[in-house]
Amino acid sequence: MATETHGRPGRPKPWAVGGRPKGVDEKTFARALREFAAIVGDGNVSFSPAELVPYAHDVIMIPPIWPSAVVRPGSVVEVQQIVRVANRLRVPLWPVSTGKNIAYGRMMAVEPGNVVLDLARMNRILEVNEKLAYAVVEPGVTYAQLYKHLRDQNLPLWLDPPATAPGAGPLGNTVERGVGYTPYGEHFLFSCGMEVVLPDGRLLRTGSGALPGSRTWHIFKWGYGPYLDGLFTASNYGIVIRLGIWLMPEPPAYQPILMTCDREDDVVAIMDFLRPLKVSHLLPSAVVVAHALLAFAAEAEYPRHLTGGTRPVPEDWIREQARTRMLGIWNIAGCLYGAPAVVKELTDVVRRRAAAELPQATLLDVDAARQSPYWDHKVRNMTGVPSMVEYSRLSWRGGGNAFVAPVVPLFGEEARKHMEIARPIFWKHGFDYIGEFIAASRDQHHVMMLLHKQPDEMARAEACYRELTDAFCDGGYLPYRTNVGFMDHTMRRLDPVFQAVCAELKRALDPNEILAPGKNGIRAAAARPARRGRVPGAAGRRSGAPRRGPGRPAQGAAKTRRHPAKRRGGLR
Amino acid sequence: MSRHRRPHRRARAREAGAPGRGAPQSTVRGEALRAEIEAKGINLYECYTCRLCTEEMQRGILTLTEPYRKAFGESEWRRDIFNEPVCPTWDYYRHEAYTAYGRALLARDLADGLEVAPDDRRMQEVVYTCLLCGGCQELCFSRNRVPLMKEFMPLPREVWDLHGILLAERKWLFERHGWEVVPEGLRTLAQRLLAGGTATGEPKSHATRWVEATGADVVDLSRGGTADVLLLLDARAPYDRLLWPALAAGVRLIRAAGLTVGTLGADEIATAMPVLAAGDVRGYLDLNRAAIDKITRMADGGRIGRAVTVDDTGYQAWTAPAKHYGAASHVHFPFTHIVPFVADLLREGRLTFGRPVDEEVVLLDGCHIGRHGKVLDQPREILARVPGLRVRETALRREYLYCCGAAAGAPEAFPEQAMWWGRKRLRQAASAATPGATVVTTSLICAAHLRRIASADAGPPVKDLTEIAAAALA
Repeated sequence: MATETHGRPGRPKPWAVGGRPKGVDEKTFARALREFAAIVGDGNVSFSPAELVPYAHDVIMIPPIWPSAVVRPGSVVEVQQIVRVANRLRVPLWPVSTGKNIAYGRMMAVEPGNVVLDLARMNRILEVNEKLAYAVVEPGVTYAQLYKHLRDQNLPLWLDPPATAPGAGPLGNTVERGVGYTPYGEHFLFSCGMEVVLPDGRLLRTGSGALPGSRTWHIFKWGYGPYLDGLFTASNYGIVIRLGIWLMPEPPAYQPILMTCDREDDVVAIMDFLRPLKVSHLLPSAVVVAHALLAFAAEAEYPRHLTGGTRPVPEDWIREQARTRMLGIWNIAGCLYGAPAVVKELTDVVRRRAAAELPQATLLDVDAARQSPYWDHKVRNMTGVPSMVEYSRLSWRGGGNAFVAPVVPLFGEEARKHMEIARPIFWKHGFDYIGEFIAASRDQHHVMMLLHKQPDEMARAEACYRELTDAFCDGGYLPYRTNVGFMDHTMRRLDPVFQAVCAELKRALDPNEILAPGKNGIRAAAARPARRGRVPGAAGRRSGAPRRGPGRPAQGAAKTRRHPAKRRGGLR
Repeated sequence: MSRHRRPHRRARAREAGAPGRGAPQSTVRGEALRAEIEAKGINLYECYTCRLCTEEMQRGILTLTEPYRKAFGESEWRRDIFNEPVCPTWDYYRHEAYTAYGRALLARDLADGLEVAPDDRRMQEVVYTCLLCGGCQELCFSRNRVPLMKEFMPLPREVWDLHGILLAERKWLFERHGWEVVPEGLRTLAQRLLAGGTATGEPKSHATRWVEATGADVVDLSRGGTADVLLLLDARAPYDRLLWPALAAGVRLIRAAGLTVGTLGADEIATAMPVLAAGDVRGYLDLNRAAIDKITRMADGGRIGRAVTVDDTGYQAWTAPAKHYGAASHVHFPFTHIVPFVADLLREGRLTFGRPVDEEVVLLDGCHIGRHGKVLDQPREILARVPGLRVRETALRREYLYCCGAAAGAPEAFPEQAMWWGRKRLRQAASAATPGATVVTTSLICAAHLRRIASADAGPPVKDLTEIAAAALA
């Protein structure tokens, strides 16, 4: 999809805001808004452009994608009622929880004109069970809120916040299969039991919750029969409005392991050193191996005078910046937990192995290292304390970022090979490689930040992102997440049977395709061969008709035309 | 897509020749807003959308700056969490658009050509319920970035200036759409001030009634004479009975230091912050420059030694930098606010407190004098010198205070919201002290607003800091 320009490179055209959802006529849309307002109250339905602004933007390299309206329910019943109205009137909804999916799209839908279903008002912590160490949360609960609750109640339980906490939400992050850094870092793995509003308004309880009155809903994951929870992650099959998350009991002791290495090709030895520690779970935290640029991008000023914005940052400059910040070219952060004697013993084991297998590494004193913002941030990540440092990297080049997140086998040679794929592409488009490997139990997430200057470098960043995605897919490295601008593109790289089954499930659960159309490239229409004429269930839309991409104006929408509901004196 | 047309309005403007101020200028395009903001050295793309501007979600993630240390200390910094809104509009609406970042994104979209209907009530609420209190500015993570990183880069980063963006946005909307875009109550107030009126609607001829009522020992400089200190009362205090005790207290304090006090009588100035809040920057600056010129002539002519204002928005008007449309560069005579002035007198030994004041007070910092004007230490110094006084502080204090909703025309334009904010601030004060403790403000505008609310709700006594200080005079 091309970035439309208006005179200046990368600057989007003025667009039609508040246009109707695709395929929904004016009368029907006005009726939908009236019915939504009757459910949630006038104050919780927005269609003024000024109120839609935050829902149209993220820091990624695509122009704003404007919703037609925002509806903010406050309860499960309201969500169900809204979904039923949307289904009846064929109005697409885009659910968001805390809206902090930053650099993946935030609250932007894939297509313009969706009605954003903002669930932030549903922000109750429904239960915290200290003895069984779990919490049950609604979509609007944030990590900060839950963290404060645990501290205020003096509960010896830890969260596992992702890097962009604290405003993110455990439910949203888990449903998007986000990750953290403690031993509970695989968030979906450590979730248990959902309540889901289906596209037809029915309420589904998954896992053990399928038994009415279940006493094990949030403690036994699998339930009876097929495990349905996964269907509602990274998909558009239902709206998760309640989730159980397992919390890590506060360990009696913990010991961060912080190390640096000073050569680029040390990454091979580092990942091979970490692999047995991770596969055996000896080192239970997610272990982050961050390149120097990623480690200090939050603190440093981009040296545009050295690069002209088109050349890579010189290596000697990187080394100098790293040196002044207690950083190496590679920066390794992991953590051990347990009883004090156990932690001490494990620490000695890890240190002895590092001395033998990674002699080039420098082991840092943790207290001294925490004077550095980067190391302080990593220790917080690994000890359940939300931290904001990641955000500061947005200023590296001027406000823009898109995460690129392929998954790589946990071998050193694979890490090196993957860098050889990624880095030249970044450089070719005039960007820097800013990345880290996050070692999990058998894989490493190679998370890279495509930091770019907005709006001037957006077109270039888009081309870079596309090339990276294609190169990774060509090499067999699946991106585990992508942003709203590339969801269709990524899905089309996957196996046709997988695509077809996703579409068939979509048709079965959401035949009218009212829930997050296009989320992760899942669409109902893809299940059928393209043909002319009306597609049953896709009201007002011909199959095969060109699909409007993000950023292009809603068809026929006027800029400042008075809203039909307003003209009739309805709503406000 | 057709542009929304107002042919009759443009025709009227053409007939009038050069369009009058307040008439919509359809030729004012988004590029003008971008140019205005970029001329201030601000990059519209530096927002992290982290929303820290809405809630002080975790103290420990804020930069460990000197203001932070002074407000909260350091020992619990890494693990402490607050999660209490500092942005009143976010607190009231709990809607993403009613946030500093939402308004900043709106500015970006307006600059990119987004069109809004000037009579869109929701748009008016989004923009004008912002109290311009500066809370977002203090919390903004893009400005203050990473904890501890002050060693590597000067903070705050001025390339991202929320306050500057919010003011420019209003200026542009006013220039583009005229008075129609300004919410009614604020519009009425601003137009009255521009026409030479007062904030309360009382005629300027009533400017000396407070003197008669309180017996204050002041010289009416509008009738001649000289004074060591010209006490600037601005557009509200002399016409609002609730504030007369504070005015009288201010005079007593200055007189106790052996200085004569003069006022402008019926020639009292108006610094007219509501005009700025409405977006009429040109009108605001014209008013203030004229007032400054008047005072300059008096100072140059030896009629006054210095000017001291009792009005915190007036202090901000004459000390704020140009990028926030302040007239600081125009002021060339000694000028300060009464709170730092009294603190200076105490420090110099020209004023002493001899009478004990057996009272418990809760100090509420004001946005304009405290956060914008950086007058935060002085109130505490003054109160610390009052014998017998027990001083409490709210959890949200100093730069991290919660705005009570008194300024930016909020009580006039959005009275329900302003009451809500004022009540919340009073509840915060109540939770910090024993029942019945006096609420003390450093801002007369806050004092008037909170006094009205407390009076209606049978709430605690509310006093200006000068009243407490004057009670301690021997």
